Amino acid sequence: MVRLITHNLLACHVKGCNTNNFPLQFRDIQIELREAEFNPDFLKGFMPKIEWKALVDAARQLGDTSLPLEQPEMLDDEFLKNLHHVLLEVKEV
Amino acid sequence: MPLQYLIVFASTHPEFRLPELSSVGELYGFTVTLPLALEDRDPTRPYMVVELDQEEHAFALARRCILVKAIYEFYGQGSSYDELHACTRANEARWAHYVPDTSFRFIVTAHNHKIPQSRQRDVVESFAYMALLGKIEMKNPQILFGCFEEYSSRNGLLRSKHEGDGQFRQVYFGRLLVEGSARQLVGIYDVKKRAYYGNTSMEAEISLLMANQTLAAPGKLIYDPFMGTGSMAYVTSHFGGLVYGSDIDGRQMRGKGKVPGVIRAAKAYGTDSRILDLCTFDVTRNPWRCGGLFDAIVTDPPYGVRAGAKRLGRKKELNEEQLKTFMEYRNNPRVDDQPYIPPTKPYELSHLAVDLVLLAQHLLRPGGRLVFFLPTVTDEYAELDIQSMVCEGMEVIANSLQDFGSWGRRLVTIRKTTDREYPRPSFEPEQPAEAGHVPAHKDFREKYFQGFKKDDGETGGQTP
Repeated sequence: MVRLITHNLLACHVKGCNTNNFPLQFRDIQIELREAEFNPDFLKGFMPKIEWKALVDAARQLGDTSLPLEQPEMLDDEFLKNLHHVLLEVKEV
Repeated sequence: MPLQYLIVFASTHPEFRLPELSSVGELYGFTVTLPLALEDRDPTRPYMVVELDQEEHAFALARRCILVKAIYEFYGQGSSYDELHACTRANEARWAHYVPDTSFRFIVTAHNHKIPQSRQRDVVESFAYMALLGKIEMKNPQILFGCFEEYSSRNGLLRSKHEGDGQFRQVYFGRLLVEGSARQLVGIYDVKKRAYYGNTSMEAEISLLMANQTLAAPGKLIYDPFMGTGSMAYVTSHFGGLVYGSDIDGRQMRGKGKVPGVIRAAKAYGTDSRILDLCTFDVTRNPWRCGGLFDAIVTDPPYGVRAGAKRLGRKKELNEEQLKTFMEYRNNPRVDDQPYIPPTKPYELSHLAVDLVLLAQHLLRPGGRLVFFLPTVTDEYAELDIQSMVCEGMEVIANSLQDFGSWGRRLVTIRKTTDREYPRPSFEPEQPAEAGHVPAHKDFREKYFQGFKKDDGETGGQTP
């Protein structure tokens, strides 16, 4: 039961599991939405740490297609709002 | 010219005062200039005159510092009233505009002493040269002048009521600018009033001081690798931080009930949306995908007295036969098998401390801070204990003792000073053959339960 930001930061840590250990696969999932405070500065600062493909794939698996396949150069408000929603407000249960 | 302010400190935790001032200054991007003379910047003294560039910096300190009781605009000080008055006269420009028509009130008070009422009146009248024309208002005056006499501690000495009156070390005078408003958080975050807590929860005042050391603010990502009942999460999220917590044993974070205890308590404080996730894992086998993630790591590691630190592994490795049986049942589980619970072994405190600094070196962003408590034996502590833990790119910026007599705990703040990236630490214990420095906090648990016996058999002080 994690937010997608957490899903994007955790790799498999089983002993000896060093390849193909990220991202973790979803199984039997439901989603829950929880509101969080919007902070564009946090999002901008956090962007370089995101594995973009993993995030977009995870979001699409959960039925959210608001993010573009390529990490955009221009960070407009709408994009940041979508990113905020996907990263911090979507929780898989 | 920088402005001078008189800080009146709360009487608790003297060693934490100056680190807090400079942390809050750094957070808001200003410097707090301490007095030059060593005796004037002695943190155990209750009053201190500091310099700030702008008045709003004083307001920021009063809003955020837990140990600031009030801040006064500084007018004068001295070891006698003659000196004080001379100084106040010289600073006339600071108070002249209150002379014509401002209602006012005087308070005359002392630290470690009670001034008799008759002399309080004399003191107020000795300021007659200010020739204040405004009305004296005991209730709701427009401004409040404070005069503070500082007496040395006379704890344990028998004395009559007003003995030594007037024999103060220093006297200060100023105008009340702002009362510290952060101190009320100590009551709000009182553990006893919390929706969820345990026997290892950290008291509110200290955890707030730790939160200030982390520079917690909106949008900062903060991690507690030994979360327990989440004491650090509530205060750091109060200041706006986004918090991750992990623990090797999730039961402390979850508690009973459907919603995890930590989330329930955070909800009562209105900060549950800032607790990002709680994860159950051993920090020595942590699943963080990469380093450079967090703005701060803040934790009160278990030191073996109330709760012991654990890590995955066996105290004794399995022999060949046991290992064979283990692997067989692992690959072919029997129908009535309980879920596998991995075995744990103790995590010795001095190893944990070294590992924690290495972990912070890996996981912190440049400029990020590691803030943690380290218990230590008072008589055996040496500065090298802390210095020997520090690794490349990390710098100790504060080390404050909370003294319990024969033992104490030190709040250590370490900053990552480089933007270099460091690999994940191996968490392998050092080779025992290495004849390095043995810190006083090694085997703290054993020392604690032996009552800190010294070699000559004498027992240490009381335990809290």
